[in-house]
Parts: sequence; C-alpha cells; structure tokens
Amino acid sequence: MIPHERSLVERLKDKPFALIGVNSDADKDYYRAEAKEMGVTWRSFWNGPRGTSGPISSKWGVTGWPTIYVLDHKGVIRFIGPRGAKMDAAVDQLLAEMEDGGE
Amino acid sequence: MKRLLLLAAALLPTVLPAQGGRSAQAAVEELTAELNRQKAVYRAARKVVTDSEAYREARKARDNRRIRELLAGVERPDNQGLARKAMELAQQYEGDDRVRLLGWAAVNCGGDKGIVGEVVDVLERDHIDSPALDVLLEKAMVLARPLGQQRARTFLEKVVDESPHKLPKAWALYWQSVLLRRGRGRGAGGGDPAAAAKLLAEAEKLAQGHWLADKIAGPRFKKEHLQIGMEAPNIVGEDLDGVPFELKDYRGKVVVLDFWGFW
Repeated sequence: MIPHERSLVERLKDKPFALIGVNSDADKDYYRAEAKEMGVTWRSFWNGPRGTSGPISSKWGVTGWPTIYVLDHKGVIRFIGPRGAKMDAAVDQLLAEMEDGGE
Repeated sequence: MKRLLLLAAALLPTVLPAQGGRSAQAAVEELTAELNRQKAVYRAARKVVTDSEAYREARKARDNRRIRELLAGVERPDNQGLARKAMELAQQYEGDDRVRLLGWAAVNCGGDKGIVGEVVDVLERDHIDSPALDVLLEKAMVLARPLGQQRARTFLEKVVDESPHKLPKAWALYWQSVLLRRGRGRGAGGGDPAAAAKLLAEAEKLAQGHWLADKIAGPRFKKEHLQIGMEAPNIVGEDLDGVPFELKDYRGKVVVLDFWGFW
C-alpha cells in the first residue's frame, strides 16, 4: 500500500493533487521510524494518542483501515475506498475534469 | 480485604523503590513508555528475522513450522511483567489513582486471564463507584476474551447499575449494546438490534461532550455527511510534528484522504 501511494505522489508531484493521511499510530516515535524507512513523504493528521480510537476516526465513523475518500478540487467526496490502480484512475479522472473546467 | 490492601499499601513503600511522591499519572506514563520501548525492541528484532533469507524461503515454501521456529527466538515485550508491576504500584495509591494503575494492568497485560480476572474482581468489589473506571471500560472488548463473556456481562451490568458517574456507565452501556448486536445469529439468545439501539442511545446521551459520543454517532455521521456527492466535512488538526493544518487548506486540489497507520 505505501509503495503504491509513494509512487502516486511522486507521479503527480507537479499536479494540483495531495495525498493527506489521517495517521492512527499512537506511538509517534514508531511512526517517525517507519515513515523514514518506508519513504513516506506526504502529510498526515495525527489521530492522537488513542490510536485507532482517536478523535478524527471516531467522528468519521471509521471502523476499518485503510479507509479512503477521494475528493475533487471543490472538496466534494467523489470516490470511497479505491485502492491501487482504481485509486490512480479516480485521481486521474478528477484531475482531467479539473483541467476541462479551465480552473 | 480492603483493610488488608491498606495494610499492604502501608508496608509496600519499604519493599519497593520509593516513588518520591510521583503522581499516578506519571507512573502510568512511565509504564507506557517502557512498554513502547520494549515493543520497539521487539519490532526491530523481528524485522531482522523477517528480512533474513531463511525466513523468506520459509514464507515462499509456506512452511509455517519453520516460520514459527524462526520467530520463536525473538523476545516479546513483557506485557505480563509490566502489568504485575502496575498492580504492585497500584498499592501505593488510593482511590481513582489506584484504579488507573489497575486499569492499565488489565488493558496492557496481553490478555492474561489471571491478571484481568484479579483486576476486575478488585475493581468490582472496591471501586465500582470510581469515575476512573472509564480507563478500563474504554477497552472492555480487549478484556471480554480473557474474562469470558459471562463474567464480562456481569461486570458491565454492575457498572450500569451502580456507577454514579456518567462516563463509566456510558461505556458499559455501549459495550452491552455491542454484545447484544454480536449475539445475533449465534444460536440461543440471538441478537436483539432494537434493545441494542436503545442502550446505544442511552450511552450517547450520557457521553455528551466526550469522544465516546462521537464514536456512537459515527455511523450516523457517515450516512449524513460522508456519501458520494457530499462536500467533505473539514478536519482541523495537526500533523505528526505538531503543526496545525486543515483539510480545507487543500481546496483547489484533488485529494486522496487516507485513514491509515503502520501499527
């Protein structure tokens, strides 16, 4: 999962695109070590010391990890849960839409 | 027994290293830090094994016995030892502080039946009126297995009936509803969704202003705010370096929002 996301971020680094995480590691030191090792370059909200029971995932009713939402440039939820190639296709479609809109 | 515990509390400081008036909260934080340290050592040692040629070969051959053998040499975190330490430390404190340490022991002992049973017995007998019971009740599902469903149920019932505090009661109601829902389709007794929903509503009311209320409202929030075509709710938070930011800062960009973690 992480290698795929890393390559997606790399491929679209000059596009109006952002991968934003909500990270549920309770132990920040562990996060830092792993993020470095795995080459995580994107930004995440921290879900706090309660880990998967943190405030953001509780509010959003997240019960499975990973949970993925894809938003268009207006902030509207357009896809829920795409992984791998489906995630790429969703993002590419929304980027193309955005360009067509001339914005 | 309560007198006996008090006697033990009076004697223990001479046996254990002096705590120097350290707060129970500090003791809990130290225990947590030590457990995290041991987990990190364990992960590192495990990684050496899983990166090895022998392990890869065993994986490839799906040789589970060999995999177990290879991993057997990796020393695991001493959950039970630390939990026992928390229980000893608990004797140096009273009331809610003791409850916090006992709760820590039960939640972090790695599902040790003896420890969980002992802690729940003491809490039920001496501390059922403590507001700090929520520490333990938050993780009640972790305890359900070592405790056994029946024992877990009677404990939750006792909290609901006897706790004068909103939050422990709300947690107990919440888990009761989870157990009721899960009962569905498992033969005798079966699930009772209507009763579960009622308990949940009661729990949500009691938990107002606490994250438990958010957790209970989660599925509803999802239905009302997180469907395709809806504008995503903003998230206001901070990143892992403590720098504040918001989801709406990224308006104008296509965003993949990913709830994830390494664990």
